[in-house]
Amino acid sequence: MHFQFIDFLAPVLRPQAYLDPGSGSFLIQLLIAGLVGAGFIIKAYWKKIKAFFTRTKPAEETPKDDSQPQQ
Amino acid sequence: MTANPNSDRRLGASFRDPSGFLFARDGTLYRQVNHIYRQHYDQLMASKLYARLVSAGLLIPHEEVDIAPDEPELAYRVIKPSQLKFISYPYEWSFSQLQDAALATIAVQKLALETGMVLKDASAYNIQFHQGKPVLIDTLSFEIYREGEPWVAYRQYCQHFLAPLALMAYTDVRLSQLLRVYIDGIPLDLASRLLPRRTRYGLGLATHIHLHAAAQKRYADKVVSKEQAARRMSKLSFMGLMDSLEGTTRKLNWKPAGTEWGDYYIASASHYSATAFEHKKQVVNQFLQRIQPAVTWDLGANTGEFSQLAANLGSLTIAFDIDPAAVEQNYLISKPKKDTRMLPLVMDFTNPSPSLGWHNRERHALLERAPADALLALALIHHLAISNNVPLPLLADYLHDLGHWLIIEWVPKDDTQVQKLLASRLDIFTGYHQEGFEAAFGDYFALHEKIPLRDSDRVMYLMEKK
Repeated sequence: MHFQFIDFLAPVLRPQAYLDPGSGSFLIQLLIAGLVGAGFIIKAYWKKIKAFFTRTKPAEETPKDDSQPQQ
Repeated sequence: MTANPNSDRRLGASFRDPSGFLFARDGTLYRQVNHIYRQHYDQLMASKLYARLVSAGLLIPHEEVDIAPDEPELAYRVIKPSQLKFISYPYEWSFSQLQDAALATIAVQKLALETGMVLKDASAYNIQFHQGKPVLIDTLSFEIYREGEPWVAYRQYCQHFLAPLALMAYTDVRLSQLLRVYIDGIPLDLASRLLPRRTRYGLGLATHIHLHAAAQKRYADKVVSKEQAARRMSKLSFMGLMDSLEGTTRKLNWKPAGTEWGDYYIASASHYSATAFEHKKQVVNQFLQRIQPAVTWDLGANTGEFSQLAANLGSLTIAFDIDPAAVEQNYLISKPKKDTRMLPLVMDFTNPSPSLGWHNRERHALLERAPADALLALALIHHLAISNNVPLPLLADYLHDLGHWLIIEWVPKDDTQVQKLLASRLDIFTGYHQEGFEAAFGDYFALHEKIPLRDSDRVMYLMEKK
């Protein structure tokens, strides 16, 4: 499960390639990100619209106290 | 790499990433930053990301020092991180500890993205608990974000955090121990098989675990085509992925079945009269005040009622217990306290954490992390000597290796708790009596004080390593 193209895509000073992202993980990530990315944009805009009408700032996200409509 | 990775000074776990490595000199830990990482290190420091992360308590602070590098031909800088007195591992954490470590990783990632950087790994071993809070200890985990690129550590995050947390929440909390077997996190095909069917119906686990595992299987022997490799991922999609991972992680939840936090474990108070329990607290406190340990290990801490006495004195207190529910409760009690000195950990002393990983040098055995200044062995001896058949001299020998001072509670054979252990088995423990205990421990420790507990047949001892 080697990531064969990384060598010719990566410029010289790029030490991050020490991790093999995995071919399957790489491709599925693109798919999932596309899927959840759309939801993320809608969510972000929805927050802004809601904030505009309620005249409050969107709540700052702090670890472990906001709930997300995920999963 | 021309470096000598077998250098004795170089740490056993620090070899994968060519960005730099950890080395020890005169008892102090340093991190060499290599030339290859220069651009990324400079951006971390110049972009204020470092300052923001440190002030948020998410990254271990460091100072740049002017000492000779360990591998001069590779070196750009040498930094000295704040020194941690105790290193713990994900297979020793309770559910909420692993979850908080995961959320800290995501929080670091979000701050990094705001300043044009990104995490290039997401190893659970890069997180340590410092004053009760999860903190990233690998300063070289960042790289400059290049728009369009997917997250190189996506698989690692899923294997190190999401898979074990999902298994603990949905299948069995003890499955965290799989992390002890799989050094790079739980294989996703295994997690997918062990998780119940209902986890396939929620978007988060269905995609990040089940679909992810299926994709890994499908592409296991295939080479990715140039067209596929050239596919990009917008920054918004990247942020959406982080948001999804965070939400999926946060939503996972574990509580011991059928119990409420408040009354799950009222310490072991029920085994004592109120007088005996209060007296025991008083004696332990008195011993601790006398010896003033910098580091205390409580070897059977339960929910940490007695460990707290050491932590209150400013001692870094590692509160071990075999029961993940007790450790979880101790963590949740300690977490809201600012700068807590308590670190609860899951540990089975009949089979403590071994040395693991490459050359057995990546993760240290518990014994390699000893000695502590003080050990608490309260209501513990009968569990090891009777339930696990450990002869008293072997027990004394082991505790002698673990710490300098020992505060130990003698539990006699006619105690109700010992009788309970003997109820279904033959009493083969002819040497288990107070004289035998004092003789066995006397070979390894100097007995300083001995106080019988009021309204109890148990006896408290203060001993010092010979």
